Amino acid sequence: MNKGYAAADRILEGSRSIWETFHDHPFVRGIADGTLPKENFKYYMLQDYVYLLDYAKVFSIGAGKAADPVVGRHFSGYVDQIMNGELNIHKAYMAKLGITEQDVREVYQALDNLSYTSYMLRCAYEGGPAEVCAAILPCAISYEEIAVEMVRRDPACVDHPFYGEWIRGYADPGYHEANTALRDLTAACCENLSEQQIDHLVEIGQRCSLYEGRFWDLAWELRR
Amino acid sequence: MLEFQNVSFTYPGAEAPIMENLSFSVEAGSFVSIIGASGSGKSTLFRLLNSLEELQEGTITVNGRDIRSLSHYTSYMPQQDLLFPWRTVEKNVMLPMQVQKVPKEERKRVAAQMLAKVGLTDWANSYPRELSGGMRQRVSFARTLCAGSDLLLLDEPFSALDSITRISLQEWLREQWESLDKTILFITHDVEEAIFLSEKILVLTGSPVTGLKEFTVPLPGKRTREMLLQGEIQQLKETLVELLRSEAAE
Repeated sequence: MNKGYAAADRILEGSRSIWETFHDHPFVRGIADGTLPKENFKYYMLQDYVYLLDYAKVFSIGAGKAADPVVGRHFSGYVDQIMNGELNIHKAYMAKLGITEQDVREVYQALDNLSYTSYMLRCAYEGGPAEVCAAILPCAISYEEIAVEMVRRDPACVDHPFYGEWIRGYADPGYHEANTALRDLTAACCENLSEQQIDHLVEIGQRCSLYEGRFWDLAWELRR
Repeated sequence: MLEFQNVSFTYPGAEAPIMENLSFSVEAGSFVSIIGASGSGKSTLFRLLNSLEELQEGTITVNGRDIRSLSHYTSYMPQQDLLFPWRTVEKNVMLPMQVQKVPKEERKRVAAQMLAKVGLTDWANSYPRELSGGMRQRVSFARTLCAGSDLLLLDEPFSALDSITRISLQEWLREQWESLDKTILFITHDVEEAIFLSEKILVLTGSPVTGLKEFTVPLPGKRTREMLLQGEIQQLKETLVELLRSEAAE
């Protein structure tokens, strides 16, 4: 398993310097200090909702392509978790923001968002379970890093009446555990890969991380 | 320009204060370096000045006004360039103006002006990864200038660069400062860098910090690296090194 973990960590380390810049993104700072206009957060929520629908599909492809039934079960577990768990939490938050079912149905997926998820889907279709992991890791892990750093800089941010819930969710030990499991799954999928294949996974991780940056931009600029 | 008056500060949970009754001032338009041993409170000073830490006792004023009533009064340049790698050089430089809701045309105009100033006009549409470390720091400086304030806080901006790049950026920064009407507060742990760059050097002393020892650098405005070899400068360097060593030993 050590070889798999070394590969998983190379993917993570390859993107870390990109994630570190997220902490100072105006949208992220706005959540942390509570100054982000609700209009931006509403837009972000809707874009994130359609993003998650595609994100779940990426996992589904992983389940379909997994030769190892244990790996397949993990992937389908994530699909269930997103479709029947995370999206419902989104809906609850969206209800607070006055977003209707119709708003959700009519959301126009911003171009950078569509490009991001299309790239993830392409990686999944072209590759196998390891490529799926490399594509989904940046979103999962960078959110934890962002929230944990927010709390480190200002522990009181979790009490913010509006954005505190978002921060608490991603800074939660349960979320960290889920990410640890994702790293384990990545390691299992990378066990028998060549150096060249791992280089490709690092690149997938970096590209998805850059897309994460673009996602923060589009939410901040309300860009379509 | 900048004045600390009887500032005391203790980090929450810490037993001893890191700063006690600290007072000093910095003149408008000057280039001042702050040096001190590791853990001496250099970063705390910047954090207080940036309102990243809440002032507990004393006051800090900029142009005579309490910083608690001000916003956008400092522009900060960190050690790592922290440019957004998914944005072009131009869009990185425009970011602080975007935060301040400056209209798009004005943002483009000022960014072009600043990129010309740092000699990177031809790189406006490039991505940070296409630039060398030294060029990225020049972009970072341009972005700092675009934040628009008169007080620039530079926190060891060259410490991650190789020594040759570092020397050329020090010379470059002196030239930039001469053509700008800005006050620069520069943190470094490098005594020679502090001497070459600044008019004045403030050394943090004591634990907690209770005062700053002030040294005037006996060099002209237009200076060259050879001047660092002068006896008087060598003596100043020795004095500063000895002071830092005795502070670190305490």
